[in-house]
Amino acid sequence: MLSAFLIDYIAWVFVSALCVIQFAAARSGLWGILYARRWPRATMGVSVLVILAAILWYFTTGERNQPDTGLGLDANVQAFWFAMSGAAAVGATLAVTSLINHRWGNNHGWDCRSGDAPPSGITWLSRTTFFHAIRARVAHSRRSASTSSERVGAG
Amino acid sequence: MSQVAHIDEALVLWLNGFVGRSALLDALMEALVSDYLVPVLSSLVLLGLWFSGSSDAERYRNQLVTLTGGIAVGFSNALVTISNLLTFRNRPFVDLDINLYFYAPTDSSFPANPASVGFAIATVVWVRHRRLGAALYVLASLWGLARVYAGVHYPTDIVGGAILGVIAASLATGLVGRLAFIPRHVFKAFRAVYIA
Repeated sequence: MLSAFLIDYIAWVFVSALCVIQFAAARSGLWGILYARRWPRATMGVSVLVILAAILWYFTTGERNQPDTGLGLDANVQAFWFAMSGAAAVGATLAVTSLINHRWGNNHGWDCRSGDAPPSGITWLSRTTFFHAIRARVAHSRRSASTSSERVGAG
Repeated sequence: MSQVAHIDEALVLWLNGFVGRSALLDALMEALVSDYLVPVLSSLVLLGLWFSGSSDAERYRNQLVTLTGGIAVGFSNALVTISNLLTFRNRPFVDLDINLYFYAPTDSSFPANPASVGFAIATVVWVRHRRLGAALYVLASLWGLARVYAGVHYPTDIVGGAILGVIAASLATGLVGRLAFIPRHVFKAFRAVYIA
């Protein structure tokens, strides 16, 4: 059972991590993982404001200086839940932005029939969404597998 | 040695003397001194670096900084734990008549673990991003200052922790540099599924 103190910590980190990812993505041109792809500058501004608001919320809504022998979190627990919340924020960003930018992400320029492997790495998310990128990767893997099995059959 | 201890005590008493004088300063210090603000902000910087960069090469270097930062935090905790096994120093609120503006920790005052963690992350980031690293040094220093203000650390605890943090960051940077083939292979797998 998670304590209210821990839930507050998780919520704070999750919201802040979402905003940090948006800020970094807007600054680096990763349009495919932006919630508001057309407004990168506004995204950066809103992200900073929400991070500041989240800090204000966290420290004004309860007594946060608790010993880790009581309600507080020791360093390991804190690190674990930071990693979990951060990973959840990454997952949520990739999933939600794939839905929001679905139509735009279709025009990524990679042709499955070309036989070339799709680009790898998050840099490709500047031209498409996470789901489209994964779909292209899976399509290429299937095509490669069927081509090699045809070769084996022919040989 | 006694001269240093005397200066240490005088600085704690002077800084702690501001507790209760200004509600705004107290509120600011209450957030700064906490176990959460600076570690979360520093870790968020590392998370942001993972997605930053205008090219694959730049992003790869930034992701190495994120990885090295995580390892440096682990090293700094290990160094502080080893140090705590070798030495024990009472907290200022135990030895001096001060206003404790924090909960009462029971572990050794020297070296300051917060300073160690804060300076470890700041150093790792500073190696590649001077301005961002400098901002994190300021944040880590304010964290240390707030701890002295609250009466839970002496200034020399902060200095000792900061030195351990810089050592931890150097060890982590050296390790990642020597074993660069490991992150290269791991990141290659991550790149195939578009998370690196």
